[in-house]
Amino acid sequence: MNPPVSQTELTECDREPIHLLGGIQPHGALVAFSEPDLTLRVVSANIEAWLGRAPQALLGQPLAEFLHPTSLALLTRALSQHAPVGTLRIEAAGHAFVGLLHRSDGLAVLDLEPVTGDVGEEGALVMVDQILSPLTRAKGPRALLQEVAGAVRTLSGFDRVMVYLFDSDWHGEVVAESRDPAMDSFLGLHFPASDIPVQARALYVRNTLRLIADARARPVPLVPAVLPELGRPLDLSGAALRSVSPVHLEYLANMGVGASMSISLLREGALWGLIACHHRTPLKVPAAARRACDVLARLVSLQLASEERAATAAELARRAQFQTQLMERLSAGSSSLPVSLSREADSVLGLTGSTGAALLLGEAPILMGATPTLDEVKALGEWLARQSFEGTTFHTERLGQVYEPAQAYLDVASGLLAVRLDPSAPRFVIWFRPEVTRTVTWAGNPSKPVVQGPGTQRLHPRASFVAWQETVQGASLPWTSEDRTAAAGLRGALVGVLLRHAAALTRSNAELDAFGGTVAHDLKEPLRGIQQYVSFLLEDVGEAVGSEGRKQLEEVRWLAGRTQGQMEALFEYSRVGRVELSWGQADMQEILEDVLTIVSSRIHENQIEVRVPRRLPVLACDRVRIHQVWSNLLTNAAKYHQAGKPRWVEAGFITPEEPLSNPARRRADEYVFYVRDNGIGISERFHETIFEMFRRLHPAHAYGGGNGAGLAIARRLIQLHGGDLWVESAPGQGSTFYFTLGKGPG
Amino acid sequence: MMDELKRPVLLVEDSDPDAEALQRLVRKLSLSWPIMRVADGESALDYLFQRGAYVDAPRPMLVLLDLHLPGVGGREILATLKADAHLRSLPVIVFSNSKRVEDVDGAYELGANSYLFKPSRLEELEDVVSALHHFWFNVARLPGLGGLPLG
Repeated sequence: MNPPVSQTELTECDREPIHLLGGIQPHGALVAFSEPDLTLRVVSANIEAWLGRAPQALLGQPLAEFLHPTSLALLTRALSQHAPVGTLRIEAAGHAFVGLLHRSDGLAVLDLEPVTGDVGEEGALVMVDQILSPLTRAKGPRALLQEVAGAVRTLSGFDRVMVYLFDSDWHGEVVAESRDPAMDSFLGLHFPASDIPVQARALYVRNTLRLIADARARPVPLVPAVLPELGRPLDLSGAALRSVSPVHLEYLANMGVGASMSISLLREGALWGLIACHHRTPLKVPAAARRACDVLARLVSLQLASEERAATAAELARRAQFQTQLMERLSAGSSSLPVSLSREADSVLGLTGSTGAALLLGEAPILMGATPTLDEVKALGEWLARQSFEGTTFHTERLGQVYEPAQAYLDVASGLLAVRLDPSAPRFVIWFRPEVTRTVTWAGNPSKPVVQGPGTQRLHPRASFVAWQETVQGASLPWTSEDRTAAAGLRGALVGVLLRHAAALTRSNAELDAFGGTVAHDLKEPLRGIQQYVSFLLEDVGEAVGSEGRKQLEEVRWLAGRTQGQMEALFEYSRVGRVELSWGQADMQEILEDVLTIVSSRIHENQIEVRVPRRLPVLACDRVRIHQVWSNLLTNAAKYHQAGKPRWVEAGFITPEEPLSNPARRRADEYVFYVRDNGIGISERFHETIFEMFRRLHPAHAYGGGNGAGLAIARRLIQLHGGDLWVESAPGQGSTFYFTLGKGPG
Repeated sequence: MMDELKRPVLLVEDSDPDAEALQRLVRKLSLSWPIMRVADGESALDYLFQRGAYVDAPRPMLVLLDLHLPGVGGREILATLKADAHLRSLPVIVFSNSKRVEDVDGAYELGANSYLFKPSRLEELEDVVSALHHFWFNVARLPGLGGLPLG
């Protein structure tokens, strides 16, 4: 594991040509020869120590010069096979070697290591047992890897064996360890992705086992150092004896490591973990033991892949179970959907393995588990409404990077996964995950001080953990495809439930309309009757009942008329919330003129001057409803006048570019229309209450006796458009009613 | 001609005060209409098709039709009349207290000849009845009367 340091050093690490170092480790020898003449082209400088002949004496010579004929036959047969790889027993110059054969740069390359004692039949059986027993004994992936660490340590004799897994594309963790008690534990430590440079990863995939037998040994150069045809050293990527990068050697030396070995864990051809071994002193692990370790790693990879598939299937089943359970309870419950959902917090969270969730279903958000505050979630919902979703889901592991306000609550919501329930409205289910550093248990020795010295800071596990922490700051564990599938699944189910609710609602709306219509009609009729009989009475016997009697009869008639008017207003108001707007381009000027014609009698009657300072624009709205709004506002303005003053009403607008006093403009980019009068004005404490249904500020008989529904209806119509209707006024100062039209349809 | 002039106006109205108000106004304004009132849709159809109790009923000059009726509704009566070859030409004036767009447009779509809003206040009702009288009996020509105004 190469350490992370500064960016410069990292870049240098990434560029270092570790396969072209042009040297080997001294515990063996290397020869490379051309085919088919089997003539030596490259030898390691230490060849004389093993074969008794100097490099220059060997170069250009055929292999037959020094190889035992049996070995030569073995080698020739291996070369004739399609992929000549594997271990060969080679005898040369009276010594027995383990030969590892591969091809590189057009040459056959043979690593030679001395045979260190024969394993024998008994020893081979012990090895097989050590390879197989972890697979049969362990229950679950972590336990299996722990067994593997133990088995590798036994097979190889290393002081410490760690199993290191890449948890995702950006970091790794030591998940199992077997060590001599004198060795430091690295178990549980996390490392940033930069710990293993890209080209090192590539080599880990190509050569699944790598031994550095003596971290302090000087590398042995090749002769010739540079291949004449290529102008560079022989590519030693495939050579087991390949020498080690000086940076890595420094790293090992600083850690007090005398020998190291790494075995790759591959899945479908990709590196997903490493078995890393350290020894305090040099350690020449016999080729047979190395091969046993390599086989064990392959078997474990297979075993884990199959266990993982089973685990994924089980996980999907578990989530499906959550969802089924959730849907059953939601369908069975008589409570509203949000209430039912909030009771099933465990299932909702379990579905995606989250620590918090929020339901934004149109009303106030419902929070479960660990979440940002209600206001923060509301703001987040507004932000989400503007994001583009992949299909129906949106996810990020680094919310703070895409949504700045989230930096205030990364502890609960570094990760966000959201599904959009309704394409036309901001309705979401949102899941949260905390910053990952908060979910990782420290398993090393955090209190151990960082050793200072040249190049040492980066070699220390503590420093490595710190570096890793920096790497994952503000990030949550990643959302897996299972998480996203489960989220999308819940969405599908919820939309089904919502549709059923909506269908029921539509039905009840239609029923309500019919009911309201019937009530309005059936109650209005008797009230009309009362008014008419009173009129008959007044006509027939008005003289006889005297002025007091006539006054009372008039009052009865007025009350009946008023009640009837209230009923109509209530009925209309109840319908306003459910009307479908019919959007289109409308000339506001035309609408206003039309309204003025209709209310002209009232305006003339009250001797009001009407001012329209400039032509109104054309823009999108529901012409009929906006007509109604202008009509309400102008009728109102005509009503509440101050005695003895010349009266006027002004209708106009303010463009988005023109200044407007705060808080009049609610949105920066829209037209604001207004109706202003010099009437009696409204005290500030009533600025909201006047918009309430049937809320009047004056005696019923005063100012022409409004029924208190006009402003409520006007505001609802404006809100249907997505706009706002509000008032600025003070007693004796007149009133200005403003309205905007929102974003338009869709 | 004189017989024709005695043909009644058929008032289809379930509300007693409304019917009485109209009759009072006819009297008050000295209008020369004989009014025949029926209070529900079933009776209106019987009258118009000369069935049951109304076998001998004279054909009316025009129909004043309330839309909201118990039983068979105003819309149904309108549709039935306008689908009948003999009755199609009979002018039907809807007389309703509804200002709803659906009601107004719906009545015209079904073939109503006119739609009048029925105000609650007698004074306003008087204006409407006068206008109705003036138009249908002085200005308009009614079918089957040889093109003469009735007034």
